[in-house]
Amino acid sequence: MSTQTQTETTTTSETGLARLRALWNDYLPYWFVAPMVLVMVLITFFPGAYDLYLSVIEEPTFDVFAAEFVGLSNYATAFGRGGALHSFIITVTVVVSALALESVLGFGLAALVAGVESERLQSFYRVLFIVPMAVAPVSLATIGRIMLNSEIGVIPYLIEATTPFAAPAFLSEIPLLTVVLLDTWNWTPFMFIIFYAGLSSVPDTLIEASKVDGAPLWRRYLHVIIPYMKPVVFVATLIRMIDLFRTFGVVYGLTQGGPGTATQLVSINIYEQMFINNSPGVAAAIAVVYLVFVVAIANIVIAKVGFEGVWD
Amino acid sequence: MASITLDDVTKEFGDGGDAVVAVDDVSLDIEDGEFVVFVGPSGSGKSTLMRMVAGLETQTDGDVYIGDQIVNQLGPRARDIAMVFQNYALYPNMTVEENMSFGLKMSTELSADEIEATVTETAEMMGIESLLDNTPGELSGGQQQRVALGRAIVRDPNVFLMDEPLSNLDAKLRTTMRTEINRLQSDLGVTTLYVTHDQTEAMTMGDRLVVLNYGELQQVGTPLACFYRPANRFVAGFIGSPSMNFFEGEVADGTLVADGFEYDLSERMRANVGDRTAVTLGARPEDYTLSEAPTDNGFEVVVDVVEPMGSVSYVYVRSVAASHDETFVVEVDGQQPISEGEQLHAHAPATDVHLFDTQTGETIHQRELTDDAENALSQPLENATAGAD
Repeated sequence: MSTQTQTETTTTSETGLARLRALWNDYLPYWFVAPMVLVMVLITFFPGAYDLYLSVIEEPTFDVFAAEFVGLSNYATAFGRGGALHSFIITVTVVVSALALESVLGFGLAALVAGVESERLQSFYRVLFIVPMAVAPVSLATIGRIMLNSEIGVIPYLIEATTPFAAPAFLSEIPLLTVVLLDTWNWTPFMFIIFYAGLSSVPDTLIEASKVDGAPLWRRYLHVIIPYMKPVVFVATLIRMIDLFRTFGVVYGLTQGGPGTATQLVSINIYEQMFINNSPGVAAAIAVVYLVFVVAIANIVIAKVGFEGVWD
Repeated sequence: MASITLDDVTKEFGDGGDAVVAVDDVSLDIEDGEFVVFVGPSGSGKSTLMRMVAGLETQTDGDVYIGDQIVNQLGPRARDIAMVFQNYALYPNMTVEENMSFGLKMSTELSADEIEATVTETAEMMGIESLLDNTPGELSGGQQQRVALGRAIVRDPNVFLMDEPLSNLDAKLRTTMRTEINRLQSDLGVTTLYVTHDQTEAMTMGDRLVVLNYGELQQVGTPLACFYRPANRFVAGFIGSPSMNFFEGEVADGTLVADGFEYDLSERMRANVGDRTAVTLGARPEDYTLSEAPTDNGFEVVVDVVEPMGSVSYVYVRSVAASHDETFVVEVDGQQPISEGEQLHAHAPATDVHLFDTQTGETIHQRELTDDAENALSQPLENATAGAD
């Protein structure tokens, strides 16, 4: 009723309102996504652009006109003095070996637990194996340091007590392997739980059909179960891979990238360039290269392996 | 090829107090080359029984023999069986050819060339040679079914096990495949166990039926024997479509008094009933006639629903004198004009009715048959394909 009276009396403001309403209706989907786009711009696009900007100037400043443009000199520093190439190699080593270990162990555990007859025992194992994933990175690193300590650590003690070998000094002699093993301990549960869910999705009759066909256990996995689970395996591995490239806390807490630069991941290198060497330009340059590198690898993997599985 | 023997086989699921008995002390001899159909309602244990023959379940008690060998300890791999699953269970990541050759690769020493030749030959027999390079996802339900059958046949096993293989197909295709499986089985002569809850499949396919309910063996016999000589009320009601009608009553002075009608028992019935009083009368829909004039031993009914099927009509009627409003079904000629609400006289001749002990469900009186029909009961259905549809 009130709108009707409004139409009759106030024609001018009504046309303005109508125009606004038309604007709202015509671009309705865009208005709905606008807040999200704004957030994305603020937290992803802007820092990314700012990072790129930092990597090509001498001293960080918001005043674009006052900034001293230095071209690729920060990049040259990063890969020269900055040891970026070394940390790339360290990172790739850690990613590849941890990913392989976590996938194999995660799948093995999932297959073992899925084969447990008793429901109660199965859910007990499920909870038990997920626990390490719930530990915060810094706590995990601290626990790791204590357990691996050659004076008071339980792991060196056990090795010396139960085997004829002398325990290695984990953090100084084999730091890279230690980092990989600690990450494996931390993140195998992630692979375990996803593979476990994937295994549960394989139809029983498919497994029974392969039993009747006479396939022994390992062939059943190789020819029937794993191919069926291919999308699950792929997604889990991809997520874990991208996540591994971002690893920082556990390794920094455990070794600070050391001894020397033996475990200096790219993420640690960036952090140290920024906050210890006070070279934001160099840190930004490494970050830019690293971003391109990781995005490229992820896309190559997706293109080569692909999401398509048996479910389409 | 081999015979199968089940000796006091029992299967319990769960343990202790809440164990569920899925198969209860079943003994059965299946001859070499025989086509045996396990039939029963859901939860009757028919699938479990077959899975124990397959080695996919281990029996709690009893022995399973394939041929002369006890196979209790052997896995499915060592039993030389092939199985067709309800949902076909084709390997989705393999082509039709790989699906069919997988079993041969896994369990025989054949060379790749020999395997390919065998697969091609079987594919031609099943009419799927043009599909060999497709994956199961690209096939229709009927084609998948053929591939699943082909995958079983190509193995040339001792025993075929088929677990409701037709229940995912549409009605028309089901009829075609039924005939085809019958033909294949008689051509190949491989001992076949076939599980179904569909009594049409049960009647038309098997040399013998094994009727199960609550894990217990109800009757083993030719389809016609189960139909005409049911061992108990359960078999009488389960075999035949629509089901037999049952009326619980009391016998006094040679007359069965049920709710809604009285039935004078014949000499032979009286002899069979003996001194029992709680007796159930069973008569198949096709044995009733509906007429306008009163009949001997008949009773007045009112027509509730008419279901015309074409050549016949199923008429659901209710006794006028009954204290309840339950209906029973009568099969009449499709051309007999009957309308809902009509009052008629229902009559089942004394030669055609069965009597059951109400307490135990056991059959105490069987219907009469012609001599030829009587002889046919013991004959397995030779050449079942001819009359399959």
